[in-house]
Amino acid sequence: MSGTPEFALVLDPATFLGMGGTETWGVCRVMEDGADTGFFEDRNDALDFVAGLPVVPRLPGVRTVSVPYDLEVEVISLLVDAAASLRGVPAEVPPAGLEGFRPVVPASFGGFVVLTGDHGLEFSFGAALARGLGWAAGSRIALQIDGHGKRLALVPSEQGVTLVRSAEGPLETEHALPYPLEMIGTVPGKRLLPPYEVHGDGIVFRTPETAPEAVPSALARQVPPDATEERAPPSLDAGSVVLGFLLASAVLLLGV
Amino acid sequence: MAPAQAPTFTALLEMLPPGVPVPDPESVLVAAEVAISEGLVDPAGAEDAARALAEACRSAVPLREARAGGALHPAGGPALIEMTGAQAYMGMVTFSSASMRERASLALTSADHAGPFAKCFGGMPDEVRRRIECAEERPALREVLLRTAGEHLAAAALALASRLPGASASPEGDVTWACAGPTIDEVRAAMAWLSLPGPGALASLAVVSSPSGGAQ
Repeated sequence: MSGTPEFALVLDPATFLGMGGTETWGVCRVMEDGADTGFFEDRNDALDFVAGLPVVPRLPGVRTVSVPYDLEVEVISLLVDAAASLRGVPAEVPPAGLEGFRPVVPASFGGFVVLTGDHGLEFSFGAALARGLGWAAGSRIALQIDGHGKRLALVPSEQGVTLVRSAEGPLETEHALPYPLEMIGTVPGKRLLPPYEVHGDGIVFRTPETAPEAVPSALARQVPPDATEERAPPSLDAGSVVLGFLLASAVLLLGV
Repeated sequence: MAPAQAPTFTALLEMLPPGVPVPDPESVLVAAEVAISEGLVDPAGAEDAARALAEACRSAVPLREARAGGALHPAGGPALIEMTGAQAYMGMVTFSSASMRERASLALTSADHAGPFAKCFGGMPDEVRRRIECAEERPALREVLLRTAGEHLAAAALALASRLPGASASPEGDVTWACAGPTIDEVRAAMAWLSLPGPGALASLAVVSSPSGGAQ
């Protein structure tokens, strides 16, 4: 969506429910480099996610902007699709893909809180997310990590920790789940709101510890623009070959 | 750009580049004549519209330039318009953004309230019309689309009002237009656009003040 105005489309629970979503605040942030969505139980959380962007449609006390019709409808569709994904309902039949690849699912924010404790990770889930995952008080979930140590997943498991009702969110883990090896040394006491994807009845996410931010791209920016050219083998075009031949001939003639 | 069936005064306003100083009245008349002769505006009532616009230019108080220069809003407060002795009569028209939004919202749900907007634009602006059509086709999106349609309609009306010669728009969107003259007749002539199809149909308040200070 490069070149489009930056804004956040915010739908209140009543409106969002009427659009076939769930009764939550639905937010789609449109930024120069892309868009993401979030679903929130609480208005303040939704406004925190808006992060100062002008909103569509008008909300009392928040800077408002008008956007073209085509863009507005596109963003509404994005939000509805993300909500359908959250509920485990495919918005449309996925296209045939390449082996080893999977369809890209828009990352979601909100309704999912990770707390770093002294002895491990604790999790809290909002009502919409819990409903979408089919989790309720008494469900048991386990923490998994992928083979690269980059992504974590929470999945239903009889050997997992029990979910209980909480004051902060509708559901939270009864006690901490142990840190994976990759997260040993994590500073305790942090409250994280990581982006996540819902896959079936599980949730996939990353934390700053498992996926340090932007190291490769930061390194890439430090490489001088012409550094690769210096290392590249010299290319020869027809002109330089002819010029070289003439110079060599001149040297030979002078030498004679 | 105004819809094809826009009233002549609206169409003439749309031809004025936004944000320019108050145009010369005679130049406005010539430009209007050209627009009429070339079929760019509806010829019905065109002479009245052209004359009203020229008179508005003749007596307009250039609030826009004053605001840009910081004279009216030194601390972001309300407009302070100081009149000289020679310009004893003053007229002022305001367009309230809050009122406009409410009226626009009502206009999309009640035909009774759509009249002033229809009188101003001739038909609904394209961005509004497309949302209304989509809302009819997709009832699930109706509420959000009508809300944004109302915001577009209000914004379009305020944008049109801010094209009135010399008019000034506050950061909140409220638009103020003022004129002044040595006689009441000149001020009334300058405000003749209020009764023509155009932004006058959507004005929140119009005041004419006399030298004694009494409003008329």
